[in-house]
Amino acid sequence: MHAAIITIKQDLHALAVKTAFAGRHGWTCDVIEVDSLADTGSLNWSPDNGRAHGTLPARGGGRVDVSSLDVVWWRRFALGDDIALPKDVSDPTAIDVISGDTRMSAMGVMLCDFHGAWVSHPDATRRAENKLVQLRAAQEAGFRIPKTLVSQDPVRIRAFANELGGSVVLKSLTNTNYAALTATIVNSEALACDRALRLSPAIYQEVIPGTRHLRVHCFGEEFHAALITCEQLDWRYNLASATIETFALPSQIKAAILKVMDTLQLRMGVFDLKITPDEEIVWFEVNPQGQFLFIEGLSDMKLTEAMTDFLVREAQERRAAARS
Amino acid sequence: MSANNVLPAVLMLAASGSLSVSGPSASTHAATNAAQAPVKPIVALFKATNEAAVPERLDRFANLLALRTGYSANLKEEDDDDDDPPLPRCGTITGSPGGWDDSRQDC
Repeated sequence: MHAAIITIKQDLHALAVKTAFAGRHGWTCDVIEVDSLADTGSLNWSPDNGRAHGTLPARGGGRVDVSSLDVVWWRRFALGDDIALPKDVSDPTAIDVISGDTRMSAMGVMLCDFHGAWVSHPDATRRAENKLVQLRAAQEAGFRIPKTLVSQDPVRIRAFANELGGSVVLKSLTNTNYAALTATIVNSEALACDRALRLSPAIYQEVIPGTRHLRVHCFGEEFHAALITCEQLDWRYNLASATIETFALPSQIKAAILKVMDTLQLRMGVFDLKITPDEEIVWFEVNPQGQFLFIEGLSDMKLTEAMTDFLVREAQERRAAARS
Repeated sequence: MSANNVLPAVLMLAASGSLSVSGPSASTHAATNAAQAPVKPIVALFKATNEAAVPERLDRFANLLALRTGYSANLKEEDDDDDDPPLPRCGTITGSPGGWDDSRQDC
């Protein structure tokens, strides 16, 4: 059996799972760093199906015949400004072309010649990243979601905040490479500048009280839930003051998560939820390829092993289905 | 073409002057905006101030994992070269030095 992880350079999650593949299952697991393809000379593809399979370069050398793969963990496919390049390539247009052509060809090789199990399919992964799509799916699955407005209309935004007592949680719809943006509670004073509101849409949400946050790792139908207790709104940047422990997820929440996964066609997801003081569990978001090593490092949860075993099961089930 | 400016093959046509497409330059754009006060989207006004506060237990776990997986060895090779860019996204187990990368597929 043969696995691969599609990701970007120096991804510790990918290397941890690759190591676990060898140690726990004796499988070969190649890491394909899509932002390090320039100048490798290893990407090949031809439409002559059956005569020449597409290949991609593996971290550490060698070429991976993608048609030979049983399972692919589609972890990251982001080619930003920091792609690995030879020193004699400096022209911005050249870099943009290298990035674009690498992205298009690597994606094409995988979509055409890989016939194993995706975790998760790139189309589903990308769609599921969208916070609006997620919120709709969560609502339809029966989750309580925070009252939400996505807007760049200052009048609507201030009216929404007033309806909620003057304060709302402000979130970005995505990340930036240039700063660590944090979810923040803002009041009417912060919402006074029309230009800042109009410049870009943002997420405005009802403040959900409480200090108990859930980080739920769903690998297929298997759940690994962590309770993160943190006084701050955004625990991501306050791990030093947070406590993390395992949590037994109620069956109705598991069912709702599986329904969201089904709607979004995901095979895995890392979910952020919050428990209110009256014990209600509220939806925040799903990260289709969320980070999990920090939870493992701060708890007794063996998430790398769980993730690796899940990938093995996916490959075996796919192979069994192909035989029958 | 200088030896310090290698271009991908598809750019050779443009580089030879056979293709000429132009638009507003970045410098023009910058000059136009220079007279105005800088404005940021509201979400960009709120940046994490304590992102470096990583628990000691997590640091130990990350360092051990880096050693076990060959991550550190690769880093050392890169560090030998002063011209290398800073650690990329996902270089840390929480995300990256520049922010929290929790899924992002497309930059």
